[in-house]
Amino acid sequence: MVMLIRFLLKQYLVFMNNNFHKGRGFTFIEIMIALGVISLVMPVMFSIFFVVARQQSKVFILQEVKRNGDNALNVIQTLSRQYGRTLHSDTPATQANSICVEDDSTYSDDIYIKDAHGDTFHFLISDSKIASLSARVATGTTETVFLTTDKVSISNFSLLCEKQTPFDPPILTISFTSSQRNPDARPDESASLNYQTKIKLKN
Amino acid sequence: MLESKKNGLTLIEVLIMVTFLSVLFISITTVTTVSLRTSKVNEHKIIATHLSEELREWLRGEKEQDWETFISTRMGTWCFTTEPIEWDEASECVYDLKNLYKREAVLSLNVDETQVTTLITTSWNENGNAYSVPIKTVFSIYE
Repeated sequence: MVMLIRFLLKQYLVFMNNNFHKGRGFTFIEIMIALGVISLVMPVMFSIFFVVARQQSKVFILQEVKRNGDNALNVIQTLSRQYGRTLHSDTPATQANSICVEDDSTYSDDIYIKDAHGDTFHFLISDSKIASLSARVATGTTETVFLTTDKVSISNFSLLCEKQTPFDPPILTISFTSSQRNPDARPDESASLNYQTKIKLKN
Repeated sequence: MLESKKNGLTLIEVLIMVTFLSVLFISITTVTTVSLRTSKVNEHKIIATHLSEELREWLRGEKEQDWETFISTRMGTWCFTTEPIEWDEASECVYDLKNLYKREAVLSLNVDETQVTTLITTSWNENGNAYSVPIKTVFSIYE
């Protein structure tokens, strides 16, 4: 390799010496040929780079969409399964507004989930992101945490509860679609994944 | 005559340069092609992982809905190549899902009928290679 570079360098110096001392430049034809070759090679190079870059951005977007969706589903699932005791249609949670207590009943509007301490939490869509709202009864404070980032938009978000038999606790169905936020993405590039799961509350 | 001989490059020099350049171009092309192919496989792997996880969550839902029906009628090997997912007794599992993937689940019940071991495999073929994303999970009667 070193030999080769040295050889090329020597050739170049000899070439330069020979040419410059005689005051000879490139001819018109030589420049035209060089330009022709460059104009053939450059577009090919750029198109290859473009294809690689597009593919990589596609994978990146898909990763982002999946990571956000996975995270949101995981948090909702864990919170509801771990802490959810009863379901309510409004806050503060009372006996009167509790839902999915009768057999064969379903409810799919805003669902507030009450935990063992009487505090409620609830999930909603805000600016195409999933927000988790938790309200503390003791201090009267509410806290909002976004479960997804600005890079993805969540659509078709739904929480549905159903109760079948008197002995079984209610089942909560969570479903949403996580997709890329950029609205002017080309259809073949826009990534979108569906999420759905069911969890059974603890009695 | 002498002058022009001095100025040009000899055949051996031209050959060395051409070889050097072609080796360079071939290696660049190879690297680009391989990285492009790997990137495509990665994209499909992400989707396949999601498909496996999607089926796992769906099966969990089925199990939460009705444990008795789940363990009495759903054991064995199933193929899920439809969207939305449904129980489908296809005799043969084909690469039909999104025109690329094959998604299979093997469910088996343990002896005291309290746990179902599930192996979900999403597989696909690409560039003459077979890829698969297996997920193993256990559903218990009480979780």
